[in-house]
Amino acid sequence: MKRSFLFEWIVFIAAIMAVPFIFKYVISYPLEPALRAGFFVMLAVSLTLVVGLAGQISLGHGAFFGIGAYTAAILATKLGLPAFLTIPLGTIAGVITGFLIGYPVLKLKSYYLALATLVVAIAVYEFFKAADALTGGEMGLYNLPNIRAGNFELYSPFSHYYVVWIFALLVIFLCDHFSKSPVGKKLKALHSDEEAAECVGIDVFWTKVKVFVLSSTIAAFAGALFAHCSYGTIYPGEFNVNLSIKIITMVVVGGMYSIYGAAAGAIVISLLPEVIRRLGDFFHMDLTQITHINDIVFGIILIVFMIFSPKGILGKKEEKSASGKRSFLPFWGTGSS
Amino acid sequence: MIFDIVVHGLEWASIYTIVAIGFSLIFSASRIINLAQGEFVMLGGLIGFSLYSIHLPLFIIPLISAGAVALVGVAVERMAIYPARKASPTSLIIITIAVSMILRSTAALVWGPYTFRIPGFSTFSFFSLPADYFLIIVVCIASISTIGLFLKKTRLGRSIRACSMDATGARIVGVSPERMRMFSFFISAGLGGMIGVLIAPVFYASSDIGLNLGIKGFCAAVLGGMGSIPGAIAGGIIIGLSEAVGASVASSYKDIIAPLLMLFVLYIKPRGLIGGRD
Repeated sequence: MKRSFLFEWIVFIAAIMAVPFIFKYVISYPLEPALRAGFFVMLAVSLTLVVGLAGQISLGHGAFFGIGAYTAAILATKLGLPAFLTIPLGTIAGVITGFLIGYPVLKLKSYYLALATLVVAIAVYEFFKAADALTGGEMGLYNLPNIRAGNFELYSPFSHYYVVWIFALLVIFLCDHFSKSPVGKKLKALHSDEEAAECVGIDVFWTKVKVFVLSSTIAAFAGALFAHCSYGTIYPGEFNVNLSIKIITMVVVGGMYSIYGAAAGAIVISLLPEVIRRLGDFFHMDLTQITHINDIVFGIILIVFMIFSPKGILGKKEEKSASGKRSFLPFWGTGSS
Repeated sequence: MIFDIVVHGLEWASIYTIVAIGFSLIFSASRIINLAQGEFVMLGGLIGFSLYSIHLPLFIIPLISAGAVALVGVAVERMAIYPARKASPTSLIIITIAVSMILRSTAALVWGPYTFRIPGFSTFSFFSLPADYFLIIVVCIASISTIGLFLKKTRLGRSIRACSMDATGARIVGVSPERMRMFSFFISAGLGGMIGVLIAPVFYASSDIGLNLGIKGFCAAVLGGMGSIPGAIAGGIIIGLSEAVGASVASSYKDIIAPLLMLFVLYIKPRGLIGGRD
């Protein structure tokens, strides 16, 4: 008997809408972390489709974010296209590269797939750094325009926040719907047992490719949006391997099989640096030190989570009905054995 | 001009080969892909610098550094790998990535964001290149031979090879794969630490060199075949020379060569050119 969680949705949406006002008027805190959280939600949720639903490890999801961002930025700076064109075009870049990368990569098995996606992320990052005529090299691109619609121009974090989060909520809704659709069921099937899935007529390879392309498209869309919401500049350092690892951490922390879990994981992990920064300020550390402490904490969190779900990402997904277990926190799947 | 390219190429080739051997050794003994290998090199360089700044004689620093980093390697194995020993290979890869992040950030906290230099081990110059370049190449050749002999002739070496062929079979004849895993981390980390000190006069020591070296060395290992020492050598040479050539042709694209080569190999022949064991 599934209830519709409508009440939870309304509360959640109301909370999201209220956040900028709370940040500004009640606690007087910069809005940027909450804005970043919106992007991360889109990234983590789209990665969960590939990792949690289909069971394919992608350690290079950040690359698609970068591809979307750079495509939009290059179109904006070199061709002078406005945001409402660059964003769809950046998204299309995500579709194309998702297919070009996914098709060969998804033929590999288990850890070769993880390694290949990792190396793709590295190669893409190095490309952003190297091709300076196109991408501005290590300095990146700047003078990126804001999103304009008629007379309205979105230039403040406040307005960016709403645009990003409206899309983030749409993405959550879409991916949840997707995971319950017939394709989603095929993915769950092939996650459990690829050969059995083939036997019942599921085209395993193409289904994997489809979900990979869907997830890369969402990530590229988020990237293209990001290019216009990040103070007019992007640079390669934002799209390095650390980003992909962060996204995986969010998926892992949120309970790998759950869309909502990934969203929760994204929010928690992207707000964590803020908490650490407050603590760092308290101990009078400077900003670079705090960044390093951040990374250490991330590393430890990741290791701890990997150790305590020993079958890890590649473990077979437990059938909920067979185990009979359901965690009482609705956001956490029963991922670990 | 060509001479420069060849020497630089062999230079990098030696470094990448040693890192690749570090990868292959651990993979050999335990099927683990240790993406923190580059950080062992980084630590070697930084520890070497610290030892230098307390005025230890230059010829002893590589040994102590290597030893210290070897202990770090064992610590990593005990704290991050052993608890996750039943996890899937992919989880272990992610764990080693996390370890590399932790090592890198800890080093940055301890030593700061600075780049350090140790003066060269000798002041001679051959053909207008500092002698340190050649020292690296020579030491690498010596290390490779030593490791080759170690694996073939000593009991420990043969035990590690046994584990790489068949872990269960090795267990049956009394070899403990868990012990071998720990040893392989010890040796690989020590190797990395040693090379880190040696490259410090030429390529400097700082907390962010590990990432680049780790990636390139990893690409070399995969190119030649994970778990295969000849493969690591071949991979190192190919990547080292390609980068040297690439640097003289289009220098900003040099860093993309290694990942592209590795992707190429993963699609065409995932076991590597010389075919490591899987």
